[in-house]
Amino acid sequence: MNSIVLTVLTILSHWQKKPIQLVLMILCLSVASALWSGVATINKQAKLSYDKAASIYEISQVPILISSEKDFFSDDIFSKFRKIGILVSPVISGTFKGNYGEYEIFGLDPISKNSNYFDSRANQSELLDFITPPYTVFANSFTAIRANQEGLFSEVEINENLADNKIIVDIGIAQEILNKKGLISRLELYSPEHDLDYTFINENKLTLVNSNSSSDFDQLTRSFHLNLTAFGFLAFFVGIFIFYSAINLGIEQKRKLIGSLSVIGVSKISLNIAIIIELLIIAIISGLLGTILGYYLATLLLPDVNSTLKGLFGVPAIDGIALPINLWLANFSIVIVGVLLASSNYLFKINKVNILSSAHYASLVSQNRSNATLLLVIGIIFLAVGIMLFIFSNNLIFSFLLMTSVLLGFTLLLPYMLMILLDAFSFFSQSIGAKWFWSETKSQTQLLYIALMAIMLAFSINIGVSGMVNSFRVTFTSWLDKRLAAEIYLKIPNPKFGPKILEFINLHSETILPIYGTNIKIKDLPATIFAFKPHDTYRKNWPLLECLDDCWADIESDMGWLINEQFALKLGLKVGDNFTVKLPTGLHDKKISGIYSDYGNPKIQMMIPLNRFISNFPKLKPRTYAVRIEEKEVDKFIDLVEKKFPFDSAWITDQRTVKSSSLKIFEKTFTITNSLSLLTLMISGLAIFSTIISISEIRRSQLAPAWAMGFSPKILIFQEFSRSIMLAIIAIIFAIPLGVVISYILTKYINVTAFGWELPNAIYPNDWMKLTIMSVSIITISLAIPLIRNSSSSAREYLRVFNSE
Amino acid sequence: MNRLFFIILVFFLGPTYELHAKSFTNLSEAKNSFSSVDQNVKLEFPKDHGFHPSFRTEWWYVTANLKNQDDEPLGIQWTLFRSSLENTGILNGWKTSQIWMGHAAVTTKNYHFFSEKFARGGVGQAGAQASPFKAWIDDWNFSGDWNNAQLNAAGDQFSYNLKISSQKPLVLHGPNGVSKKSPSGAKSFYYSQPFFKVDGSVEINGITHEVEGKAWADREWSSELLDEDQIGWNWLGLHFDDGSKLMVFEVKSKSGRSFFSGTRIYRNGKYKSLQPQKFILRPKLSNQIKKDKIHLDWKIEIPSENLNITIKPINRNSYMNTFIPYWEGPVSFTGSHSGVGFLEVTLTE
Repeated sequence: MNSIVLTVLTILSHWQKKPIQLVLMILCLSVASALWSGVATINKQAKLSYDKAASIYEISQVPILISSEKDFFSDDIFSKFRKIGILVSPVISGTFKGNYGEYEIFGLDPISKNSNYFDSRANQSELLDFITPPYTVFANSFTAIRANQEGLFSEVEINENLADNKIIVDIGIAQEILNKKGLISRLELYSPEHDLDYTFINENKLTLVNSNSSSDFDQLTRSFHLNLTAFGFLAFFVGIFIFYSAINLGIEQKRKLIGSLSVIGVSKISLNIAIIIELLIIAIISGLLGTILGYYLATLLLPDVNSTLKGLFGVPAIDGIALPINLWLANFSIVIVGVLLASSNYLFKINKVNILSSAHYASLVSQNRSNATLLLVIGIIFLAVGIMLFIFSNNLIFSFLLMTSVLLGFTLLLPYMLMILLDAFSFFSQSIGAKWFWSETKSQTQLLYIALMAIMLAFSINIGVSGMVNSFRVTFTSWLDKRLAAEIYLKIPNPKFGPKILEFINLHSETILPIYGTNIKIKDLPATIFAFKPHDTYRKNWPLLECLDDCWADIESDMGWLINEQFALKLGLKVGDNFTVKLPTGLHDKKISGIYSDYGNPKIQMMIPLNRFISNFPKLKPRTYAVRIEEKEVDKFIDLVEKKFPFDSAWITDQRTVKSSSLKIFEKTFTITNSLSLLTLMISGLAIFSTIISISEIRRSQLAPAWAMGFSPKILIFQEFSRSIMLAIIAIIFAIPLGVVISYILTKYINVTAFGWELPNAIYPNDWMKLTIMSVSIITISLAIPLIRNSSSSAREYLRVFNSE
Repeated sequence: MNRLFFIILVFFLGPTYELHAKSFTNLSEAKNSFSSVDQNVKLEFPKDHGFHPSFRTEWWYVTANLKNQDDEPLGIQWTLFRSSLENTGILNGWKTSQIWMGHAAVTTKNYHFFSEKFARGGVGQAGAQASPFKAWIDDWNFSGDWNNAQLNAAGDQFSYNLKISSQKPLVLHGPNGVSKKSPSGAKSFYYSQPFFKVDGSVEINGITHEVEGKAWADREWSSELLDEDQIGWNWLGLHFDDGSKLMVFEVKSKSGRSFFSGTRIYRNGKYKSLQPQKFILRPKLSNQIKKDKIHLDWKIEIPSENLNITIKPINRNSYMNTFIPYWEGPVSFTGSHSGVGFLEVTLTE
């Protein structure tokens, strides 16, 4: 036992001499695992939030009205709704802390609730006992026992279908228990959604949460979270990749130490155990740091995730980040497993260390040469898999697999390509000095493979992501121009003033187009149907992707459907196909006349002429209008209206403002993807930094003969530096075509399957330039620090190399 | 008038015999806690148009015999019931024991559409207030004063919006408005306004009918329910073509001995109670009974007034298939006198 402890201490003492390397390795691993655990934490938290939202529906699968501002609102609103004929039922829910635990209290009004249970005549006496003393409550047997101990309820009816700690009770009793007299949490809606008076909902500061959008949060946002997971994993993967390289380089440095330990009689088993303990210590420290960093990263990214989720999917915000022990353990164990996997090769090599051999630079080089060939073969296999996936890819997971195999496939080709390239350079070089330079570069390359591959991976991901974001931005901007064709948009702030405002605006504009719609279901999918007033504004501007001849005449005369791209993609429709839609006035079968692009909307959507919309949904009234006016009159006109109708918020806005705020929301969608890809790039910077530090000692033995031949240490260092920069630039050049391919996969595959829209893919060399400059700067700084450190190497140190070799 | 008294009883106390037994036990207890009908109490208006929470049960009941622009007969019903599960004295908030139930129906020769609503008191979803008078459940309202009022309700296939007005005085049934229900003394406060004139519109299946005609409003409340052996109910409220009115009812019992009562109301607004021995209310036996299972054709004789009429329903399918089903619909009558009215028959025999 003692010998193992001693062995561990001895092996660890190696790091005492190389503290910077240790710190870098831990930092690299921590940052990589931070990215992974940060994303995992966000995803897990999102899932918890969705489950919480979904649990609201556990009792009833109907749309609900919740307060736009607070958790609870006055139950007077319930009777207000009932008095205008809207069938709603109140629910109060909250947590009650008892002496023996916490209980989720659900208070219902069984009389106004559409409940099969209480409507059954057989359960009438239970209904009476529920709403009058003894006020029977419902709970499962586990909760019943505890609730009885609390002495809260005199009668508990056992219902094993209920979750632990959930208690269903009459609303009056629930209000008392939760100390919320006269308050409720939500109203369940039983009237059809299109019977709702939205003005009334807004006046009462309520928000309608559609049951289909909320119970399907998981479904709806799965692609988004998968996207996060994929990028998180990619970052982690790059991190592990680098760790693999670092730990393998470490072998060379520890070779002597391990040899000495073997010589003094430390058994292979003890050595292995000691090495595993060493790795575990590194993994635990990195894992701890990584999960802590990940937690902060998640907190940092959460606002952007929330605004994306809310803006894009309309789902409620994720509650603050919490790190429950199980999630923490899960993140932590993934780091440990990753580290152990990355170190398996290290353990294998340790066992093969020849205790008698000492200089092994040549062996390392020849080994790396055969490694390059092996990597080439593996890379080709990945690319072959990629081609298969390209042919058969039809869902998001396949698309991500396609992206991963293409990324890995191309990246693994890098070492071999570099070899060929450097051989070629060397072949065409005339002078001895140049030949020496290329040959030295080749041997340096072999030590830098992994770091260079990490740079290539990170850079190509960045090119791909920025390509996608740019394609999206350009498409979205031109789409916004078409979609927001009117000069002014106004939202009537108070319906009371509606007619007056419209009358006033009518004096200045000939065209006022109402913008409104409602939620319906099409083939059981949540959908939105909008009204449009036939007008040139639509005919000339609406962003149609496909259109039958004379489609506007068809659409305006209600002879054909106008649907969004998501509608067409989800239901496999194209223009000319016939499709039946169920509306309140009955089933309508028409051909698809036009398909329009509808970015930023995960739902299917259609537009029908205003008169047809009114005949189907007579109770809905528009509150938003598009106003056409001479461009130069806009500012003057807005001033005039605002003076006449001085409402608080921005109820009247010009096209420019709407566009810029739409773009802002839109940009947020990609903040996460952008930050993750940038972080990946920074990790690759760390990679080259730590690699250079690790190999500097090995390289010293290489440079010693050159020094002996009369090259000054400064020149040697400068050559080292330029070689590294050149290699990094070559890796970056290789990464550009890969990035273009990645961008293509992102726009043509991942976007379509994740969001339901396809983007035109364009190339942005300016961006490549910017990214290249940024990457080269990161790499230059990463290289400069260790090389500057080495530049202080004195002649004595080079001499020592000769001595020890 | 104790219309649907039985329905309320069955609805709130359960449909099985055991529950009946329980309910009747409860009722004897209830007598102590709920107020009882006292003949010495003088009804006061508009105060008594409002609700009487200390009584066990109460209702606002309007039926109308209307004609559309094509002179086709059309009947409507608007009913609001209140029942107090316990006399706790709590009137506001969810813990009140007041429960409300609404029934609305439209009947023509070919159609009979109805709708039903339930609500708890204390939170504004349903209620009744005396001044300004308003009785409501959700968006169904009976409001205004008892000279000029509005009445509206809607179901899936119908809706109506009516103005009702009358300048004639209210009719109190029985001494001081105390109406006996059984020989042993079950009784209720009961008054009516049978002289309402109506105009407005009724929409059926999307078609609007402009209508006018006559309406009859009843108010009744009590805590003393039927005798234990009383099981069902037949009630008639009739508008005579000569402007006079007649209300008669029969409470049936298991023993086969029925209790009869009625009020004859003249066109000048004067009225008199009809003692059971002064009139005959009997079913007209016809082959139809085999099909209907209940009596929908009736005969009434008042020998002292040379009144001998035969009553038949306008639509035999006017079943109210509500939580507790019953039959209620417009009728017409011929014989010595002619006119229209409403018949209610409970299905609890």
